[in-house]
Amino acid sequence: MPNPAPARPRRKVDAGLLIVLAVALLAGGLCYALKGPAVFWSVLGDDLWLLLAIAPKVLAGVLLAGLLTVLLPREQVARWMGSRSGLKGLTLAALAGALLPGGPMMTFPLAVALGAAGADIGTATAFIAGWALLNVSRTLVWEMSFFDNDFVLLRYGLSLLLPILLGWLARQCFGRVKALAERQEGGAE
Amino acid sequence: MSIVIASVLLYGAVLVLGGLVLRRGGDAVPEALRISWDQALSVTPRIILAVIGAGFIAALVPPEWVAAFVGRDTGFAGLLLASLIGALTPGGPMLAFAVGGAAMEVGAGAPQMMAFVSAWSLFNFNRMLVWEFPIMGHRSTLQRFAIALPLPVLIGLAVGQLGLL
Repeated sequence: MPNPAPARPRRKVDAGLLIVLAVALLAGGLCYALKGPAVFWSVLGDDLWLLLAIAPKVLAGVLLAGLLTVLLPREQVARWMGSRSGLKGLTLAALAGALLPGGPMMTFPLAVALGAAGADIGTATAFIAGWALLNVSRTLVWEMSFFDNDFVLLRYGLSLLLPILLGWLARQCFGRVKALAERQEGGAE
Repeated sequence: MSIVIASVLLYGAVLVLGGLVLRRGGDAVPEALRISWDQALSVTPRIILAVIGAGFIAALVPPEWVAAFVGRDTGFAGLLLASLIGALTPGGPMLAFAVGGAAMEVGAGAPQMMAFVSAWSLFNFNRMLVWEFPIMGHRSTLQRFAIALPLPVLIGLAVGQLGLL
């Protein structure tokens, strides 16, 4: 059964979009004023070529995000790995973070759902770090568009085991396997 | 050449996953396409503005500044500075990656940009404030922050010291 779409699609206009818009307008205006129209138009021309060059990658990344969202139902993933701990739980969490598409508005609620399903601080840390460092759709769409492949592959390779390591460290430092939900209920804060 | 390989891998993955979704039948295919379309609507204006904005920034900032602050020879201080800038860069992946890529073209060092990208990924300040603190609670957020804090500089050091790139 195909799972229902994530409840909250990304808003079309948000702070992120407004910030890039403001940066583009400001930088473009300054460039025109300080460097002159010739530089302005030549930069704009280069940018258009860059956009054409990365368009196919962006298209593929967007398609992958749609396919992965349908293939990996989020609620099920949370239930499935929430109760697993040990190295297996950390590995699954890091993998889920790397594969599940979506921005912070989808990732952090899922991390909370993991906690509710029995995951500890280690698993939640591995999941968030997996998403932050290794998210496949972000790397494909954004990182590979702007950095060359050697750079991206090296960064990705160096980061590959870090989410598991961070989850393990969090577990060692901040309490043994103990459900996040339990801690939040019991916490005095 | 490597762009071709990357594209082949990408579209290979699209084909394989697309085949899996196709085999599910039912609503799966239109559902995947709808999600992709929504994503495309959201990504397209952002990527256009980010590329244009980063292009103008690169034209405005004197390359010798970039080299002086986050160039390959700036060492540990450059790694720290790049990490700090990464953590403070707002505006989502479009701006962060566009700015980092443009900086590399005008003299930023690969280790420094590795630290920049890692710090942006792990500790984006704006994202932590808006999403992580309210949703995860301050205890979990601070614990994760503390555990991951040295990573961006360590990754940059690994790249620089081992001469990996």
